[in-house]
Amino acid sequence: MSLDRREFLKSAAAASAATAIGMAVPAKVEAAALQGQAGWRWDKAACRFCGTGCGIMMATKDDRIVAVKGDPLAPVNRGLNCIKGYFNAKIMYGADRLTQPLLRMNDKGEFDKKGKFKPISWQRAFDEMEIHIKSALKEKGPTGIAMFSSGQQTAMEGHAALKLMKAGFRTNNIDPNARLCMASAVTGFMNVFGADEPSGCYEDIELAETIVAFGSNMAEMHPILWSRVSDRKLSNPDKVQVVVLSTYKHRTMDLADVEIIFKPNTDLAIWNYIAREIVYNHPEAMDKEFLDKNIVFATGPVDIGYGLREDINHPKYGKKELDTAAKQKSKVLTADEGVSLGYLGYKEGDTLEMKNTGDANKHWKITFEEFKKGLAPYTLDYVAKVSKGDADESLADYKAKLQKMADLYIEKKRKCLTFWTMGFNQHTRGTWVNEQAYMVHFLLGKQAKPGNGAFSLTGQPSACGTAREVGTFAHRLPADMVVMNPAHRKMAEGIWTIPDGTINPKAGSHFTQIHRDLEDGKVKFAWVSVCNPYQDTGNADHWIKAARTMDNFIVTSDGYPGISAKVSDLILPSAMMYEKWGAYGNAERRTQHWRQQVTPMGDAMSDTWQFVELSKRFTIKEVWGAQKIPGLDGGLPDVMDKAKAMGYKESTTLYEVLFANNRAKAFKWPDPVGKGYQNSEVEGDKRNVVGSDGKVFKGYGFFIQKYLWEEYRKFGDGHGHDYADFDTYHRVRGLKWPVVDGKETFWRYNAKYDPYAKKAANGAFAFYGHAFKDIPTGNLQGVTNSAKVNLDNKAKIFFRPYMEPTEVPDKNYDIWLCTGRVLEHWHSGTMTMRVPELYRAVPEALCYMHPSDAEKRGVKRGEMVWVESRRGKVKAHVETRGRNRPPRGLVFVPWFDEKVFINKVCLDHTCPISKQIDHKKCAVKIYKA
Amino acid sequence: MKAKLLIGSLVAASLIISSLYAVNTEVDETQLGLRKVDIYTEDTALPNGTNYNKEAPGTSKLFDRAYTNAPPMIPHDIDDLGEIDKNNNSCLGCHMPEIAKDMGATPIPKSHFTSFRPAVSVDDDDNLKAESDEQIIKKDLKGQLWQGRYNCSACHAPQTKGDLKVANTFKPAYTDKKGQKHKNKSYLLDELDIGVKVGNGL
Repeated sequence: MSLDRREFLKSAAAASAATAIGMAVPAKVEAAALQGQAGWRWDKAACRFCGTGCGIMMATKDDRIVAVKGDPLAPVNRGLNCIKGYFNAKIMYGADRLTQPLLRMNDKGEFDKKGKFKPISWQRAFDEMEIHIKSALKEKGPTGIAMFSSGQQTAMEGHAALKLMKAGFRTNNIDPNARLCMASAVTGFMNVFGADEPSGCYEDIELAETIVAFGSNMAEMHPILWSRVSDRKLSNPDKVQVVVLSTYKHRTMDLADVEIIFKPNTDLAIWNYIAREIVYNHPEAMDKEFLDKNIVFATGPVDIGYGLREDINHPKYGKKELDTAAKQKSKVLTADEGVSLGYLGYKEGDTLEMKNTGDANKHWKITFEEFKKGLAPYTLDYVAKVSKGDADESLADYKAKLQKMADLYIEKKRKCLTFWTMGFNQHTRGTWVNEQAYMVHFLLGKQAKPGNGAFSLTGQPSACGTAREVGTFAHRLPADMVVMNPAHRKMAEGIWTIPDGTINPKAGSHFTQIHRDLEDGKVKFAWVSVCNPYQDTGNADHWIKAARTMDNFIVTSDGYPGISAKVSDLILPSAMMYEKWGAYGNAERRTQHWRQQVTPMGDAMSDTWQFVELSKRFTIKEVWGAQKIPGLDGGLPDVMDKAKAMGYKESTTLYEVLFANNRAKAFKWPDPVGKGYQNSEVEGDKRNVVGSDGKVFKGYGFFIQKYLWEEYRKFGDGHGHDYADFDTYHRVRGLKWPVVDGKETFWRYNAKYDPYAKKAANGAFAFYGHAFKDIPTGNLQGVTNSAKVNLDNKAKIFFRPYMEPTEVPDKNYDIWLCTGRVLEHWHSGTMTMRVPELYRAVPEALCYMHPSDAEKRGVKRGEMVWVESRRGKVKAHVETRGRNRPPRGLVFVPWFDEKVFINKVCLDHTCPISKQIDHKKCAVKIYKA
Repeated sequence: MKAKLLIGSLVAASLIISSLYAVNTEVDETQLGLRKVDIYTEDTALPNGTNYNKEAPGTSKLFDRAYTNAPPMIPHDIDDLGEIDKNNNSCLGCHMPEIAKDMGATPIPKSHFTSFRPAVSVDDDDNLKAESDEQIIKKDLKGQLWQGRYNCSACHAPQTKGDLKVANTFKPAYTDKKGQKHKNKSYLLDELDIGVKVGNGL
């Protein structure tokens, strides 16, 4: 009776091969079954959670969600969801939904920073925001206000927020939590391809033969993609080889043929080892023709710091923080770094002065010979010694695995797919390690082809679709454009119909910098939208104290009262995912729209509505006069004369300019695409919510979401970022941009698949992105000729050396801390901890550690420990087995749990290029609580 | 009329507020959310603790499904079953349909022995060939598990005992035709198509 599992797997593989070309069953509606679901309405929607972007079918009855199933038509997930996906059904029904604005007040009913929360009207909420924004603008100018935005805002919300901040208030202080999850991927893409987002698509999984997960626990974080990998692997157990690299063993590794446990940050060395194997020992494996035609080699400076504060003795630093803080200015090189930085004349014990912290991304073209020289130290012996992460593994075994992995990449014709996520992105050299993945794939000519490619996975459901594509970053505009570029500003001003010179040309503060600005009193008003910056940012003690003790005004819009709401002055109740119309964009460039399924709870209103209502409180005269900007000579010009020439009056409000203009009003409601569905922003709803003017909100009367979408897509039309029209997305299961002539694009930059690559007439490939395509020339040591060369249609292979992380375990803080997520909880747990099944599955964040590390500290499985760093400490229960199995010397603590507030322990160091925080490594000590 | 509506909604709103916070006038930040203690110190914070069901497989009471065809949660102890890896999946030992009945286990349903994904392939010139992308595909795998469902823990999890920190007001619906059966059995394969094309313009 008992089944031999190997036999089972083999027969399963045979069966699945036999049915590889199955029969397509025409869909039919079963009338009898339908009767059993009388009164249910099924509609398609996107999952609320990760960047995989699964399609769900959602059933509603009597204005409530009653069931969910995987959408069998969704190409991403074909009828299957993960545990979080199924519980989309329950995420909006936690009993403590925020239903009224709450303001900290004193007994007299006045705002009081020290007061308790009391319910107020929407009108009063906007009164308070108006007062505090106007006061911040008066005192500090546009840089005195900021917004923490999100990779979970809908594309339309992101567009509305971007317009309000950049076109209205003329501040670039808007930055998404995607900065914490995807920024290094973005800078990697920009440096290598000149354009953001992956070249490949998920079909790569079913075509690949080597699948590598490097710094990605896909089994938990992208379970449906991992399901596709599992099917691919287990159905072809010999042909398909899976390699998993991580600093600890996890569920993804459980399916691997090659498991590699490496020491934190040594991924940089491992990539160079593979590249060295190719260049020195297997030159025949290089695709010479491809390289000659499409690639240039490049490098950049190494003395770029770790993204910490420039003032290493900043008065707000605690005493214990100072030794780590000092690394921003200089560091003493280790023996390993003495070898890896030898090409710059350094040796062990030398002090590296960080002279390029302000210009970390400068880079220059080098020759292939120089690139090859840079790789010279990365022999198997050196890299194995530097990178072996499990003290209990023999060096010989470890070397054999590195070699096996290199072979699996190098083998001619073997299709290779590399996935990564936070392991590379949350990294003090995150941009570099992203670039290195493309380095290896490009050397082999295994990029931008079916089944071949280095593929950056996205953490959040619309980190791509909103944060990156709409551009809700401190330096970005839609469609890969940036505020620093005059032509890009001009185009944005044209589409938004605002005067020339309105948009601020100086990039704003990135996510972690907004926290620092609040701590320094430079930002006086901050708005938290669809994110949880007070739980999700390392070194959190500083930021929650700054929110409560500094003279500032913090607003949090959320569905539930999370940590950010608790430390705010004003809490606004937001409509959640399926209570509004929206669109998300996933990691394979697939854009998916959904309709509002139910009426929001209480008096909750969408974030779009909140942005639009606030815009009614400002006339252009109040924001479009001359403005001072720190660090910008002459500040921002007065654009009122130009505004008047465009027909605006001094009394014209931002609402009239940005949202309720004639272009917007042309989008009529009702609209056939909304037949049978409600739209709370457009027509109000049965609740008769009393709005920002003290009157019942009856709706804008025009189809605002459609307007925001249609205006937004003008930015990318004809520029390689084309989307379909609004209505099309309500007929299909998403489309991968660029969408040209109604067709989606599978493999970008590949002339066979991408109309833009074909149009470039550059042969089989054209890497047509425009960013950083004019660079000087030099050698490994620096620039030798500052005259810029143009690299149109070419991609770059970077040489980047190994460097160790900012903070390394020592005698006192003697163990590595890595943080991350678990399958059952989303980010800070604000939604999923309120779903009974998900809460009960993982009710607390555990401290996963090696049994001998626990024993050494006198603690047993299930007992409580303190996890303490130079910055803070938290308590957690110890787990010595289960899903995560760290090697000796490393612990893993996930960050979803408010009661195990691990970001108090983490360090706010970032990749100096991407400004993405590194939550994957810092030094802690552990002792019994 | 308008005034009445206004008052009505205010009353409704205040009822909701009071039911949510059990405080009519004011709330301290420590009364909000999941962490009902000071967030500026960790001395008073305590993790929730985990207390999974210790009953052996086959002896525990099933959990009702969260709604029709929702994946069932695991009612029994899994502490000693080990992790699922490519050589070992303890779940299959009891839950394969031909074994499950004798073991008193919930059998893996038909949906798991079906592939919904169209096949794709490329030729030597990198031309993609794919089955129809626009139809619901149901390939009967003749009793073999679709390998994309090999990671049982992607959808099924054990459950800790004790109170929730916050209640959830979701009210499930089950397909009426089969009534109570839907609370502990999947009919997904029979009902998958329902509503998929309705309302989507397809």
